[in-house]
Amino acid sequence: MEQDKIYLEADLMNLSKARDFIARKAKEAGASESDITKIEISCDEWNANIIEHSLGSSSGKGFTIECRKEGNKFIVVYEHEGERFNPIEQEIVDIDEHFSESKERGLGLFIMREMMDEIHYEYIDNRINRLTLVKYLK
Amino acid sequence: MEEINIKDSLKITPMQIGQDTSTVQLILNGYLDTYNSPEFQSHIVSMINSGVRNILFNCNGLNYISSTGIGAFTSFLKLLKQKKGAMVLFGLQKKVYEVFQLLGFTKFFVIAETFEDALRELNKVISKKNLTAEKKPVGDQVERKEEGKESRFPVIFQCPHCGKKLKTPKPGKFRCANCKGIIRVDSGGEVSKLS
Repeated sequence: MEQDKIYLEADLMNLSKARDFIARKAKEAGASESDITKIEISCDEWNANIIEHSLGSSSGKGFTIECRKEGNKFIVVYEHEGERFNPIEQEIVDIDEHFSESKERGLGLFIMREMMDEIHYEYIDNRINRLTLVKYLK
Repeated sequence: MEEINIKDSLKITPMQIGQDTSTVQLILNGYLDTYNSPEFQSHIVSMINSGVRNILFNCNGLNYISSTGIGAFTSFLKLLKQKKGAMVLFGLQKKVYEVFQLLGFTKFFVIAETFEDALRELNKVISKKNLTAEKKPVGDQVERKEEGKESRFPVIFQCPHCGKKLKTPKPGKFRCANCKGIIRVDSGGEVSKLS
């Protein structure tokens, strides 16, 4: 699989474009159907997070998604210049509690942590949020 | 009832079931994510608030769901419970079912394979609710009998499709986490292959 990168405007309408791109790249990298689902839903949560909370939908700003394969790793790198937000520092969600308290949101970061094998966050030059999601391919 | 098109990404086709206007099948076509979930949620909540009490969600044409979409279904479940209604999801594509499963939400929802199964499940939920509402005059015995039957649960068994060791706390139809084959476990703990 060749390295590939796209730029998307921060608009919730673009979530499906981002999903299609990532799922296609994961498939090219040889990920199983089940792993593609895990990668797709994890990335979808981060895409939505960037658009809704970091950049603001229809703000005219945008973000990049880069996919590559290194050995048995499928790697997705996100970069955007938005408000600093480190998902790794967020609380762990209890699904039963989440359900019983009728929360409808807030599962995104739980999903990313559960479904992906590695998550790395960097804040570069006090300007760029970079999130790297890694899935080990079986 | 008219078809609803949400942002060219999800179509909801409502169909009344039988003569009862409070029971509907909603056929979903498209995807459900953060983009269209709020609008989807508001349409369904309006339906419930205007008298719909029992919903069968036909998910055969639903090709993706995010956590926000699952959150919307969670809110319907809560709202219908308050209004003494019920809902069943059926025909979930493998990928959509997997999202429910990966998030551990299959235990909160009644999920069926086909429309007929879904209708049967819905009727079961409704009769259970009616029994509770009538303070179990005859049902008390029925329920105790059922409790007796279920006392052997949780049951540990091997998937009849792939042999994986599985455990269930109650009878019902399940999908094997390993091979995705459908399994029925009856109230006596007997396991059979469904597909």
